[in-house]
Amino acid sequence: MLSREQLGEALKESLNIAMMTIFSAMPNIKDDEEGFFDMENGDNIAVSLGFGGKIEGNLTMLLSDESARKIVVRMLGSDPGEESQVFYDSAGEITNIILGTLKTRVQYSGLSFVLGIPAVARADESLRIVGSTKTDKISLAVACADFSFKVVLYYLINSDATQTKYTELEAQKADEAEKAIKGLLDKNES
Amino acid sequence: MKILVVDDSALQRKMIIQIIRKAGFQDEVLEAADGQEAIQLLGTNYKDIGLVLCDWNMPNMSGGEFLEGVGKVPQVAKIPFFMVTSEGTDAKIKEAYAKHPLLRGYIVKPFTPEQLKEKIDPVLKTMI
Repeated sequence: MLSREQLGEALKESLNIAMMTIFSAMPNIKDDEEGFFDMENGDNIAVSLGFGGKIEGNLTMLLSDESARKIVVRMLGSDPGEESQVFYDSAGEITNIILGTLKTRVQYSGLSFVLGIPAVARADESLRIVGSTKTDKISLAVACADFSFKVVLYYLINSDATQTKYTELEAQKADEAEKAIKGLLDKNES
Repeated sequence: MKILVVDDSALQRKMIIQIIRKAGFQDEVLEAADGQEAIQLLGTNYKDIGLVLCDWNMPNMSGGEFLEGVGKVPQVAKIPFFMVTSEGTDAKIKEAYAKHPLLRGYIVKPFTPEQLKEKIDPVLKTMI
């Protein structure tokens, strides 16, 4: 099983890979061990992506609207204007990629997990995220190219039972997909 | 021919479509935000769809569930299907090919535009 320090290193490596591949820029990553995040004044976005399995918790990314805009411009090559959904998506996609990369990096450590769907919150001024006392926390401040953000990973180690539940649910939904596709094909061909 | 892009992130869909357009594909691209929407689009357009690019983690119905459903229906299983996902573990990649043995490719995010284009180019060339 990985120690907290090893997990923290794996998270930093995952951030490096994500930033280098998406933005072709090496990020500056620092430990940020404050008990809360107090972002700069102005509109802020928090995107939280949960995960469950042998290790369970969530990864939250905090950034200003301005940083989100710069990220979108870099990803799309154009300014999205006031299309706020695209701002949320950019942060959601980055949390997804960071956790996905982390999952790959820790795949042989016994820490398997299933990714969830990003949830978004926004605030007009400061935004603070506090975790449960049950969870461990790794928090990092990241500066990359012309934008910056913070990430915090709250986690706890679970039994194997949760993982089994997710696998069974996925098999059941796949059967539903097969029936739905066959139903539509029959309808179109009749 | 049409391309079906399935991803719950509108931004990711835009990025993928940009890459497809830059590669020279000018016909219709269908967009779905989850597996359920993808089923509807696939079910009504399957004769015209020449390529499916699909994320794994999505609400309502995941890409893995959609992939498995597609793999079990011969009429649509032959459509070139690529998973495009941040799920890059060896176990997940094996799982994808077990769900759909004809799966054409597995692309792990993050990727550069060049990497995505290189993977799907053999299929795109048959459609342009």
